[in-house]
Amino acid sequence: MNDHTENSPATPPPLNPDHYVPIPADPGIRDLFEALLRRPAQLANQKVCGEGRTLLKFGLIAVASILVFGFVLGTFAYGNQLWAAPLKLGGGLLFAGLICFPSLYIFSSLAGSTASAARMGGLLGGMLALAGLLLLGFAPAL
Amino acid sequence: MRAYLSPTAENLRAPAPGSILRTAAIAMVGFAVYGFTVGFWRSPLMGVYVAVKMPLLIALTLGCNGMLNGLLGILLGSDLGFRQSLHALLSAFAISGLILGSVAPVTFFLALNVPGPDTAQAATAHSSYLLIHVLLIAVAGLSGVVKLRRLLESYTSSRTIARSTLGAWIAGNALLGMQFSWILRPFFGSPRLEVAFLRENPMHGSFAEAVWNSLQRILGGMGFEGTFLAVVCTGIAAFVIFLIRNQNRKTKP
Repeated sequence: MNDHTENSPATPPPLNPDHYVPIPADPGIRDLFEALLRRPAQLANQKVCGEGRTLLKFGLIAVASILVFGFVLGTFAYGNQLWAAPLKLGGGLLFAGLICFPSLYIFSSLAGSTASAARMGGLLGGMLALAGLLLLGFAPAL
Repeated sequence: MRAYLSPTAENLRAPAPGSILRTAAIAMVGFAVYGFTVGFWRSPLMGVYVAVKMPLLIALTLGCNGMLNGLLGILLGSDLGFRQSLHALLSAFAISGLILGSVAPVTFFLALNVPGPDTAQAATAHSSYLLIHVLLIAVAGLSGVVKLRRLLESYTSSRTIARSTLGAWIAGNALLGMQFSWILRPFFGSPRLEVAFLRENPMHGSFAEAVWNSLQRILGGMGFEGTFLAVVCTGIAAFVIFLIRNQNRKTKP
């Protein structure tokens, strides 16, 4: 075992500069879309993750994805379900995120996280957006 | 807020009155918000009552045990004065209060979704509601105790002193807290009984008596001797398991 691994066992290996794609300081929805799918861990470590406008964009991605997914689910019954299913899914997702956020922040802080409330909000928003994107991926198959 | 979730020995060394008050306020607000959601299932008025009674329970327990906690802290060699003991215990309650307060939005909607106290499923709903809250309170309480143990271990000169102080505090506060919780009942509000701040004879009976009666019911009418024997056997088994675990820990290289 060499000295490096002996002294810092928890340190991840250095990033390969060929694979490292920097995330812009003010990422657009397309940048966030790409980063969520390709480099979620890198995105979570960026300062931009704790900013209000990023949270808003995460929210937009999550809501848009869920609305489309909900619409697809609604096509099973048609009628009122065409608008009710996306509304209920989108509303439920945002509402669940909202009421679970305080406990997420408190439990992550108890577990040793140093992330601020704003950053934790960004991480939760990113997680919801990623979940929405994954569901959106299933939509064509449904 | 993170400072209240991970109190350090530095904070404990010379606690200012303002710091103690802030910690107490956080604990009280957390318990009050959570308490409201606990009683809300029975009725909104019960929610208000429990929002008052939960912080009151903590205040009464710590207030009445303050002298004993301080004395035990000094007696067991932890080097903690009365004010420091109070601050340490309030910190643990603040952690529990923050945890319970943070799950309050979830438990509030749980109260809205569980079948109401005037429905046919009220008894089952009450039991499951009770179990969920007992679990949440246990998790919050244990988290507070674990943090308090770490705080004491980092403050005192030896781990043995920290643990004996913690054990003595838990024993004293549990004993008084149990009785105060009995006097201040109801918290969850049985669907068969009227909504009230206190029961008609709050001082009648005790927490231990209620546990004893429940044990007798669970053990299917084994009578006084049978129940006593069951409790003693369980105690001996727990002690033997504790001894074996301690022995194994000592023999490990």
